[in-house]
Amino acid sequence: MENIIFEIKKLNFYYGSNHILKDVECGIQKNKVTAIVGPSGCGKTTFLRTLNRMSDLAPTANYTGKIFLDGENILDQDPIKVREKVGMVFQQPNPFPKSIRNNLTYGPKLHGEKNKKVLDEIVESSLKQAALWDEVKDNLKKSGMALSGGQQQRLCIARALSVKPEVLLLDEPTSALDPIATSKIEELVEELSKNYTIIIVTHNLQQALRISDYMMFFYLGELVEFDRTEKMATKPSDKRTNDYLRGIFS
Amino acid sequence: MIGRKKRDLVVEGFIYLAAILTTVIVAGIFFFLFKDGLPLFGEVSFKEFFTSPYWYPTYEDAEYGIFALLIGTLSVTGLTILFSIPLAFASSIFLAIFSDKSRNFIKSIVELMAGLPSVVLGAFALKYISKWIIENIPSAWTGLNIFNASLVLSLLSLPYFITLMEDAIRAVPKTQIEGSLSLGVSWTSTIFRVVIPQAKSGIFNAMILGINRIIGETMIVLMVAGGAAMVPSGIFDPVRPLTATIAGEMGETELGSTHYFALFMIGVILLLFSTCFTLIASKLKGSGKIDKR
Repeated sequence: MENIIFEIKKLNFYYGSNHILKDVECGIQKNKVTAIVGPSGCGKTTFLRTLNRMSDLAPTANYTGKIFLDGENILDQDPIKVREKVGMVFQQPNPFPKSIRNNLTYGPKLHGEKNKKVLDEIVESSLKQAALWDEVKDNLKKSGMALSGGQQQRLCIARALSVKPEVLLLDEPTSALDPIATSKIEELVEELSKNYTIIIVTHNLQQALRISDYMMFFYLGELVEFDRTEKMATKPSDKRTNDYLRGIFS
Repeated sequence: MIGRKKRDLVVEGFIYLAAILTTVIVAGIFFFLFKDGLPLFGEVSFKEFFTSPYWYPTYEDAEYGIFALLIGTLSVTGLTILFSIPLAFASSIFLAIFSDKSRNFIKSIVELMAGLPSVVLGAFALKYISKWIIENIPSAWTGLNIFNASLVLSLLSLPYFITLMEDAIRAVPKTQIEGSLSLGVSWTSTIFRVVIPQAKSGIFNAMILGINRIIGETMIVLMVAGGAAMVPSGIFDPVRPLTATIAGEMGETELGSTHYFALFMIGVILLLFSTCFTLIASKLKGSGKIDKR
């Protein structure tokens, strides 16, 4: 059990008087891919966003419980510090309207990195890790907005990696992409899981089965089941998980 | 079916007519202003009109120099910009990004401010602000001056600036803000490095439209700028801006007199100012558009 990176204890989350997450308890494995699935409105995106405190942005957000990252409760920490360790990629590719290079130096520069050589290295290594380097290495001055949708999303992954996080949260990263771009991102996720912990929310069950080591099934704000993906896919222990996976509700 | 087609034609005709009418009216305004303004230069030299600080249109030896009036307009406008733009900028960022429950309340106050008749504000300034200035600022020899007028004009233009700037800032996609915050970047850096650069053209547009309004505003400067056609040496000196000059004197001039032509020429200048500003604004709006998604 020493490989647990996130330890979540009795997490309850509210938007105003709406009880979104109910007594969530779990431990997320380091350097594995964990997929979060469940019907719309079950709280999976909210859960993901609490893991780097992006959920704080909603004015009426409120929570109780504890989320330990490397043994420290992130709910007591400065959200800015938390987000340095826990990066995020969103549903819609959202590169900044800046050059590819500046998209990648933006974070490191604001964290105090001034050395041009170091910044160049960050640009190259982030793009390589995001499998985008070969496609853009001669056009680093080109606007990030000028790339295709799939490339933009990989640029966003590279941007998240540029600040050297431990964890990468992916919020339905392929829902706006075509099948080819989607499969590229899926390959990338498997590759990245060697060095990063990856937690991905997806509406696409097949995708979850393809790429994840662990699966979480949320239903009406409850974490119904959390197990190894093979086990969940073949022998789910809860009837609700079984119904969802068999497509009885979605 | 023929009936419907006919009705369409009639409606279309009306729409065209309305469009043409508007254009004709605007063209007409330009035409008549120039027609009544240009004869001035038959009697007063171009150079004297723009560079002489002496505006004595009713003297025996009348003089028609608008330099002091121009400075009046520019000084009041400048000080108003100094007062209102920083405040509006900060408020609009607050409203667009940070306010949650307070937003509706603040917005309704801003809207209320926008609806205040300028003459009411003017009356307030005439009685109260002017008194306060006389009592508290030793160097002020009159309560009606650049400072007073700028203060009231700021109040008048704030809602305008705030509304337009807030719209510009809100137009920045939320995903851009989240993208920056998710990198562990602070709110302050996110605002200065991501939000403002993307809202820049909209913010400039707001400034230009607002400044255009300040220059054209008449009632406030007529009531509280002091009305002295002199080149001011400080912000507590009275001035007589261009608009106040027209409003104050037009009723008492003789049709076709030099004074009459001069006032129309001032009108031409104001019109040119506002045309320029409007053109810049529409140019800004057309270019530098950000990619919204």
